[in-house]
Amino acid sequence: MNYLGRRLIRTVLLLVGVSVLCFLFTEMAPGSFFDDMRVNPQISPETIAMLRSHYGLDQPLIVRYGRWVKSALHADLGYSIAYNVPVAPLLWGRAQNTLLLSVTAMLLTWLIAVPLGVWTAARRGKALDKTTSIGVSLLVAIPEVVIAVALLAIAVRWRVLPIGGMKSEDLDGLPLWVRIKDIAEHMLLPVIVLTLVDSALVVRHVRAAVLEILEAPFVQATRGFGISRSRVLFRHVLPAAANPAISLFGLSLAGLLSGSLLVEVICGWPGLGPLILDATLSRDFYMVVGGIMVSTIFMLGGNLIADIVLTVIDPRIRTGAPDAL
Amino acid sequence: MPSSLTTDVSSSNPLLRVKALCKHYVRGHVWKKRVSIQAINQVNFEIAAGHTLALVGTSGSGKSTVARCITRLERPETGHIWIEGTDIARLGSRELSPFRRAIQMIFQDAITSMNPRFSAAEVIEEPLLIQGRSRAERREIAEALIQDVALSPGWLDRSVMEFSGGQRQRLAIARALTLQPRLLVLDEALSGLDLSTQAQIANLLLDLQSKRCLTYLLISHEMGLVARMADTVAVMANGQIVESGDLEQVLTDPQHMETKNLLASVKVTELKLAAGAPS
Repeated sequence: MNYLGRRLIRTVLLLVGVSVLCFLFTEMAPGSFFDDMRVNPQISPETIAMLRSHYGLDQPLIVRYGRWVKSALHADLGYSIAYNVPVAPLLWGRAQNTLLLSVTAMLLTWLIAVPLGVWTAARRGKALDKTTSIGVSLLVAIPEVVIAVALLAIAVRWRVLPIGGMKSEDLDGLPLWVRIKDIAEHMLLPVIVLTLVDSALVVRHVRAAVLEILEAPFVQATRGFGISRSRVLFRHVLPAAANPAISLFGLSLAGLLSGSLLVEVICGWPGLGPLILDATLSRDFYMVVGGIMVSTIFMLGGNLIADIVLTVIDPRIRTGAPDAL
Repeated sequence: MPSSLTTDVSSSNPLLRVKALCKHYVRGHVWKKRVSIQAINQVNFEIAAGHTLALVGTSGSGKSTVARCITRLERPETGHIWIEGTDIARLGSRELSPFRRAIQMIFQDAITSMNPRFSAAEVIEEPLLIQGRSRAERREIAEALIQDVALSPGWLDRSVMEFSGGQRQRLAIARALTLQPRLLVLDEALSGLDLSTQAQIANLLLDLQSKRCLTYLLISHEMGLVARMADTVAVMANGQIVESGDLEQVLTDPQHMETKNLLASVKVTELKLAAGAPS
């Protein structure tokens, strides 16, 4: 079986494994959605038992898992007890908001971080490299929560950006560009936080990868021929340094749905973050499972895409060459 | 003074002459105390055209730093490197370009000294790109060179990953010859090979030397190989040349403790056999 076939089978097995663990751990977590109802004297135990039966929560875990798998294969991820609607459409609506935020941040991150990483590596030890290294170290050391709260505080103090939500009220009837501008203004703060945090990581990895290749004997040998620096960089260094960067890009794709959850909660962006947090706190079983599974699909899909790209650009991975860089 | 020692090659017009070469590295960074390490200090030697000088010494003695300075992969702080009368020690990258062709280096690890994504043809032809040769010309030269190092022209389109260690070292030699250099710096180029392959490559290098009138700077810690290939020997320790002279003189009458230690690791009979002398 070829490399991609093996990779696909592994992905499906991982998905099954995550779904089993997700069901198991969510079930094992203390409390349930109906705990609040139990302390309410106006709701009888019979009513609660009826509701549990209605949502299928009175069935054994294995039965519930079997039913869920069967419906999940038809894109039905169960029913939200808290919202009283099917999980999948609710998740998809919020996932679109999350993707708008995270895809924008990811594009900005890679557009800024890759040239900066290559540039600083090519000018190792110079002022630009030192300044960038200090900035990157600070950004890596400071938790994204702190950066988000600090920028939020600045935005509130100076009233430079709208805080919370995705758009202003009373925008109906206004031209399209005004609505787009309004969403862009609301996005700016969480996008800046995500871009700063992710860029620091990508700059570090790209710089390290390029530096490693610049020190490689085959690059030294090439320099000895008198070949121009730009040809050495573009023909030898960047293709060789691309592998770790592509793997990292796969992780970026993988984190599109899960990477921004905390920032969404802090900045009040109506994405998957606040939805999954609320679902977890209220023990909304199928919403929690659905949210985790959608994030997992993105995670595995991102890694799979990165692996496919790597096999396309580097045939040694297909053949399993031991000294593939 | 050890620092003023030179080899005994007395040539009025040496191909390479190195004088008072110094190079130091600075280790440490903003969080760690910066320490200056003197890698080579006041190194002097010269090599006559068509001859082989062996630069020997233990690991860390500064041999490879000398090689990297001569090939100008490193810029020495002070000193001179005259190649056919021109001092290249201070030249900028543009002025250095024609001299890069004259000096080529063959690295110890042939596996990592070639871009693993390249075919054999790409490896050999790449130096020709800077000369603006046509595709057909480059192919013709590559076919001739690969035959010169006793490999089949039919292998040109194979990936370098498909070659064995010895074959890759032959490929590295072919690549180094592409620009028709006058001086080849062999930086432990035969060290990682088994004895049989090492002997084959050594023979190949000796053949090429006689055919093309090549000059070799052989960097090695293997005295057997040195005895087989070198005309003169310079022994390095702590970044300086501590002893130098004709091969026979250094092998039979070593003066410095470093030379004696190096020779102690090899049986004298082996050295004589390697040098072709009667045992």
